[in-house]
Amino acid sequence: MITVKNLKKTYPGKVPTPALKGLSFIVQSGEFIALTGRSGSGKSTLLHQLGLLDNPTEGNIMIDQTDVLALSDTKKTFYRLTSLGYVFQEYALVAEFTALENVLLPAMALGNHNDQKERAKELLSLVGLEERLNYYPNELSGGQQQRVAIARALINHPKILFADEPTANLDTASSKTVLDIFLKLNKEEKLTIIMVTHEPDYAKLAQRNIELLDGLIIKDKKQ
Amino acid sequence: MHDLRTAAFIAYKSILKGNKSTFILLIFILSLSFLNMMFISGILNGLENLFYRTIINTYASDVAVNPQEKPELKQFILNQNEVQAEIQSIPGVIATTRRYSLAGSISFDKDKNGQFKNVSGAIIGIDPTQEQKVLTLNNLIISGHYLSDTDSDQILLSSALAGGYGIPAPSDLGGARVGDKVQITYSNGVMKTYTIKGIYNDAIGIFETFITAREAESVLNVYNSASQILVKTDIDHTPITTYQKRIQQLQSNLKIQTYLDLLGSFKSFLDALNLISVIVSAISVLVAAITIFVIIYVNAINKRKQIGILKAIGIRQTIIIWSYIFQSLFYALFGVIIGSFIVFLIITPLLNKYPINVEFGYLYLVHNPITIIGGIISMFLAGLLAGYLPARIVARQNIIKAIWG
Ligand SMILES: Nc1ncnc2c1ncn2[C@@H]1O[C@H](COP(=O)(O)OP(=O)(O)O)[C@@H](O)[C@H]1O
Ligand SMILES: [Mg+2]
Repeated sequence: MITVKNLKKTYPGKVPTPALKGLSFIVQSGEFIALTGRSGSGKSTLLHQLGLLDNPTEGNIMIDQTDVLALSDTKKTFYRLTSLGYVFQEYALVAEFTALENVLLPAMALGNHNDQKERAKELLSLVGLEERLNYYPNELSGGQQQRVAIARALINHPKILFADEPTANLDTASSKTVLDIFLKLNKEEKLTIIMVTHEPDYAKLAQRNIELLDGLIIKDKKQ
Repeated sequence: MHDLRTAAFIAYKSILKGNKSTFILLIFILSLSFLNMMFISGILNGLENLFYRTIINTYASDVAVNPQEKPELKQFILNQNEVQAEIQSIPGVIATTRRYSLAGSISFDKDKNGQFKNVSGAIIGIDPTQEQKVLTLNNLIISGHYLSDTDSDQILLSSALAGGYGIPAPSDLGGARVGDKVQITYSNGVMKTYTIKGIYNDAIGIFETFITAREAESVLNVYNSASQILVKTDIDHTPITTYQKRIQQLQSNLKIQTYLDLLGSFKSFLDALNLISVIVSAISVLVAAITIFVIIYVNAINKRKQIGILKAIGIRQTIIIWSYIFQSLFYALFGVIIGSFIVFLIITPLLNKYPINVEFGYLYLVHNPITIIGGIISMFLAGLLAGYLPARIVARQNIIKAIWG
């Protein structure tokens, strides 16, 4: 469960930009949330704060009784490694690693490299890439790369999966595959997923839709 | 521990799949730096070595035995025959020879017109046959012949003092040659005419004129004495100081010096050589370090997005930094290996076969373990620093900035 209270983020600068203006909401374990809103409404900023990639200006985030904002930088990094999964819009893979090595990297950083090899292969076949284990990113299509990134995000059994416009650079067929994987993970593994998307059609697939405008929640509904 | 394994794996894959031409350029520059460092220090060591050899062979020998200084200063070593015999009985002593030191001024009238040119300097009385076993004067004759034990009115002249051989001297005789007659006025007033029997190549400038010991005895009016006894030893197997101690035990009243004690005047020259060697090596290391730094830095900047993503998925900063350190250490290692290969397996053997002929002997590359190990360590230190700094600069960046900024 994620509890967000009065979350604010203002980017410093000559003219400070208030990107989040005090958000409060609760995410239950196992929810699949679509985060929507116009460009510049603060979706990415929110995801960065929830994902411990950035420090909010004000507010509070509790993940399963842990005050995550109070953790030291090293502990935050470890928390990201063990409990959070990320899928970015693009360029997310290590170019010099094969698909399998990319997926294994977070496990390796935990010292679980050998035990996790089988799991990495299973995850790659879950995303339909069992035939592409030893391909390098530049030998894979955008959709395939994105699926490798999903497998990598899952290797250390995260509690929450964050995805920031994961289908923005993909064609319709690839986008569909990625969404199907998310739905399956949410349904079968009870994985909590927070996904930013532009596409109303994709947003509809989630159980809940939070819409932002100018750094505030303007809509939060179960669907 | 698994942090280092992960870092090593990232480094390994980055090198394996990274840009090949960058890799080749980097290795090329690093091996050149190492080669340069080893070559220069090898040449300078070789020069130093040649210098020592030359001084030992032509001038100082290994150990010099001098007359008593305390309690009262004596001019000669008396009963030099017995002293030589005793020293020769020490195991490891190869040969001994005695010398008389005189001083005088030599004058020469080249054009027989009453215009004399004068030089003053040391006149040394030697036992030519015995002398050959200790020093190499006999090998340095460039004109005429070496002395014989029974010669009395013949001398060996320094090419520098003779003049016209292109070796600088404070003053010379204006072109004295073999067969010419010169006059020597000794400091005790004795004056004699000699014929130049030979001229030796005086490249290092000892400016000494040689007569036979027999002749010196008649000038000085002494018998069975010596101003100095020179000793050649087997210093490859026993350190020079051991011989010095043994001889001192046998001849407690005499003053025993090694060639090292006589190097005083050349000390600043040798120090200068060492300083040059250190400076050149430091520049090489600096060039190597800057090269690695720039390439790793550019590489890391190009990969800042990827570094941001690695941090975002929970890879610790230390792992990322170590992966860059491993990469640059690997480059340094590769540079050292290739550089060593060229220096030690190609250049050094080649120069051993075709040494450089400098004025006073042949120059080889000489490497000593300290310079080699020092060179290798400095290459690795350069690699360590040049990998660490840029990686730290880039890896410390804020994740959001690294990925999107
Ligand atoms: N690193 C940043 N520095 C300054 N302003 C930023 C930065 N990132 C985003 N912003 C600003 O914050 C606001 C929200 O941006 P963002 O969260 O990226 O919106 P979205 O993802 O919904 O398009 C925008 O006005 C944007 O210009
Ligand atoms: Mg965005």
